[in-house]
Amino acid sequence: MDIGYLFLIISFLSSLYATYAFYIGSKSDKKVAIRLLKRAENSLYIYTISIIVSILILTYYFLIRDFNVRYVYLYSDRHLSPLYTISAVWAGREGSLLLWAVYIAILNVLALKIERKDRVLALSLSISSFIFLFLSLLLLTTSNPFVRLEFTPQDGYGLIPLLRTPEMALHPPTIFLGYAGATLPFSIAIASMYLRSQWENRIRIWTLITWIFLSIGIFLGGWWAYKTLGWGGFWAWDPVENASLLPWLTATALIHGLIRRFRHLNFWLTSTTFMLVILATFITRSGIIESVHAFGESAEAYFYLALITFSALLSFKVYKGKTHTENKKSASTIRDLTLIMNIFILSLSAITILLGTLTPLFSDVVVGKSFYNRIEIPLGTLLVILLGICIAMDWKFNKEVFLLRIKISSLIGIIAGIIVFFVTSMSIASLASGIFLFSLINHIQTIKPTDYKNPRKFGGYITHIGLLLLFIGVMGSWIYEEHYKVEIPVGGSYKAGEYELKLKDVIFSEDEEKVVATAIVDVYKDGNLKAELNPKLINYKIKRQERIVSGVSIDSSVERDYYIAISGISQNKGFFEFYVIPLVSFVWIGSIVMIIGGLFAMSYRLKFD
Amino acid sequence: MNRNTKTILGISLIIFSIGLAFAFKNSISPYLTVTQVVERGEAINVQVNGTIVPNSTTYNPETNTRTFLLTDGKTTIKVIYRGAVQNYQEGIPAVVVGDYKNGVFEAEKLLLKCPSKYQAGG
Repeated sequence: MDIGYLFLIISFLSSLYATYAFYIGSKSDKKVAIRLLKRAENSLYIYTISIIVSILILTYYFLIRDFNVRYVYLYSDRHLSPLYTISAVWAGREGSLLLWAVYIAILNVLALKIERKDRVLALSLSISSFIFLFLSLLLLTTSNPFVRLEFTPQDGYGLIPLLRTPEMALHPPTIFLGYAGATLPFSIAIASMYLRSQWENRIRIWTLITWIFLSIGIFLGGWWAYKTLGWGGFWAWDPVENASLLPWLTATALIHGLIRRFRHLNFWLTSTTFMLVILATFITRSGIIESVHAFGESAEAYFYLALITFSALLSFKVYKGKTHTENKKSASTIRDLTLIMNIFILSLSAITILLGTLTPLFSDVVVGKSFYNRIEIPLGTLLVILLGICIAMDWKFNKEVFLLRIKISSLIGIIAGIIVFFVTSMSIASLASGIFLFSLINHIQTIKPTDYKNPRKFGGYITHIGLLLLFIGVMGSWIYEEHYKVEIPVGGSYKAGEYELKLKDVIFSEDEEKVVATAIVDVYKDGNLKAELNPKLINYKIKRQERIVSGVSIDSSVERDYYIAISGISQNKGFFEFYVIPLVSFVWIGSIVMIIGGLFAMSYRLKFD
Repeated sequence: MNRNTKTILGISLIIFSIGLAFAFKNSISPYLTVTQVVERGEAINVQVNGTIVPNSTTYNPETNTRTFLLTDGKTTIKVIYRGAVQNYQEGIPAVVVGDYKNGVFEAEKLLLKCPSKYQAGG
């Protein structure tokens, strides 16, 4: 037996005991409870340490290039640089599952360290240890990363070339931390509901962690797609992308729900977020939904369906069992109403995406991108308007002040819209910039310098402004993108709209890792040189079928990107996909600002402890 | 929640559902097997699932056009595709999106399935 597998077994057994002991401990009298919970805590430490040791062992196998380990053989080779060799640990199904389990274990330890030690925490840790138990069972059976081959190959199969980018090296570690983060809110909510305890303050930090890391993961995925895949976009409404966006949307709704105690709503948002995380795993790993991405078919997937069913039943049970005598905080103020509307829009977004993503499961049709765009663009726009209105209100609603703010921001928005229309004569652009400024001005009017000391509020403001920038970026790049299929002989030129593209040369080069064809393309507009681009076609010398990768070339500036990818090339001719994408930089800036806002909001809780 | 809130939410929900139904109806395209496409004789904007027949590909570098046969085991069609393709390989499953007319499938999109690709995507 491999030593790494041995640590997985230790992990499995101790999490089994922890699940049991935390559960019994949460129900026992004080004396028994103290004794049992002490043991439960120790098993929690044991399974955390063992799972960390096993991922370190796997990393070690990668670094010493032990191709006798099947997983190492499949995802690396001798020429792979040390950093990408480490990233290969989570390049496949087994390793990423292992990473996910590591995160859940570490977060459970963190919860034990910073949460109040009471019955609720004990029961929560029993639930979250059970989820860990579930994952470690999969690691022992269907997704064992320590399977050894009967012989030792001379060289590995090689890391998938598309994953050899910094973004893709970092995408799984962030997105899985986001996934893992959803476990604790779910466990705490279930446990608290069962024990009839107040829980919403306790889950806030864990929900924020989920939100921040899902955001970073989704952002890295989008950025990677843009820089790597060569179709000029960052979001294709692909099932795998949707899968991660779904829990992000409900987590966002939840963070807003937590501002006020919309207890029932919050409970279901928490539970749904967790179930959507598991659904995301199911979608990616089952290969059941046809997609460019999700093709890793595995029996493991059906276990996730079982986990979703279990979570849903558990949620219904504790929800039904709960007496509804609590002081229900209903939407009493007008600002509460806008918060509810916000949660409503985010939920509708999630329902739309869920419907589009799951349709192929139940019928023989494919849902096109236009479905999502037709629903999500209006919903997003509505959300931005609502955001402006909501922020213009104070918790203590003052009608005169509110109307004054709205008048000022509407006026500025309308003027800006008219100016944009006269300059560009583009109707959607002027509408979007009007809405953008309306919402932005309302934020500026209500923020006070002293708010800096209130990270929850200030972090929220930063995230909102990030969202507004993202909105501008999405509108610009989705609606005003230009795309040309270009065919140029070497030394010749091609007219694409108002642009002229010249193919100066095609250079072939080779090193021990790959063969590269580089095209030198200059972009002219009105006779002026606008950009010098050098798209590549890279052919990796590995055993994999996925050998050829298109190296996209982008000339970025704040207002637009020139973007080109090779679609076919020979000694004397090149075929290209050429895009001019306005304002796409706002997508990146906006996303980063949103994430910074999230981090800022989190510093609130950290300061208190 | 008071009654006004419920009314507002109710009305928005109805409007939303109508919009959703229309968007859905206008954005779906059927998923067919090669045999089903041939039976239809002509099919516009469909997705077809099949396997690329080994040794059937011809590539014309002058027009960047790729021609190959797609099969579902029973029936075979000729597919023409112009444009970028990463990781092209014969004998692997593929999805083509486009129109089937006069015995030829003009693909606008060619999606190749790779058994291990993107698993890390999570």
